[in-house]
Amino acid sequence: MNAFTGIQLVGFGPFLEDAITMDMQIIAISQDTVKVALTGRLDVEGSGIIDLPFNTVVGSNRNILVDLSAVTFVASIAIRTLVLGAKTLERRGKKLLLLNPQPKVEYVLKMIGVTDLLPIVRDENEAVAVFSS
Amino acid sequence: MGRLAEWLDRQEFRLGIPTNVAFALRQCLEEAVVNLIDYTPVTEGEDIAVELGWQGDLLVATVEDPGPPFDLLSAPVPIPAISLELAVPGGWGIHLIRCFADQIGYETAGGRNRLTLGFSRFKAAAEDFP
Repeated sequence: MNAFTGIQLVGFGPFLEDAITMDMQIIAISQDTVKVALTGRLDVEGSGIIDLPFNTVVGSNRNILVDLSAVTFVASIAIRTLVLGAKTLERRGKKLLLLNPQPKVEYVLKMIGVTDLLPIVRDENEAVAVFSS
Repeated sequence: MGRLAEWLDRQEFRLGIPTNVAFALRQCLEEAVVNLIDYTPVTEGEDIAVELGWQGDLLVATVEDPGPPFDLLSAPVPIPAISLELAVPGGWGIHLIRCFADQIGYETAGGRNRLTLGFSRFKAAAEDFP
């Protein structure tokens, strides 16, 4: 068996050179809508990286299109961040949509049962139509 | 948690873990260890230990911790919210473990919890998993 010991870790080798980190880009689509494009793993570490900047975008009181097309993994803590953001926006009359999650990420969203809370769209035109409805 | 992710990266390569099994494994271990860190009062000198290896066509992961006894199989299944207004995020991690692991075992011994998760090598063929 290969063992990992947490909390007090010793003897770990160098980080993998191709280890994926989380990147977040914010792109204005219109005066009222912004796209948040995420790249990498939305695991606990990735969630920690985006948490503050994402909540800052939520606080800007615009519709948010979260582009998940380059996200390869999503942990429940990241989904929590998205749902809480969507709740905040809804109270302000705004919406949060997910753009093109990869099949495995979409599977996780369906397993948790949040695709009604975080609607999925396949392109920006569809997103604009939903935001306008 | 970052080091757990990197350790998993290396194990996926060393153990030749198929893509879908690796995804399910990562989902379960992330959720299990985060749950322990969030809810278990680990003190200095104690640790959370993870082991991983093949037993035939079953990839077996064990997670040991020194916290109070907790069998995640006894946790209630979260009820999907019908609206954002009513949504209360929580309980999703354990739910995902139950969805992604093919076998789940739990025992306590020597003051430690031992969670055992099994993943079939043939997971992709056995489930509607993309």
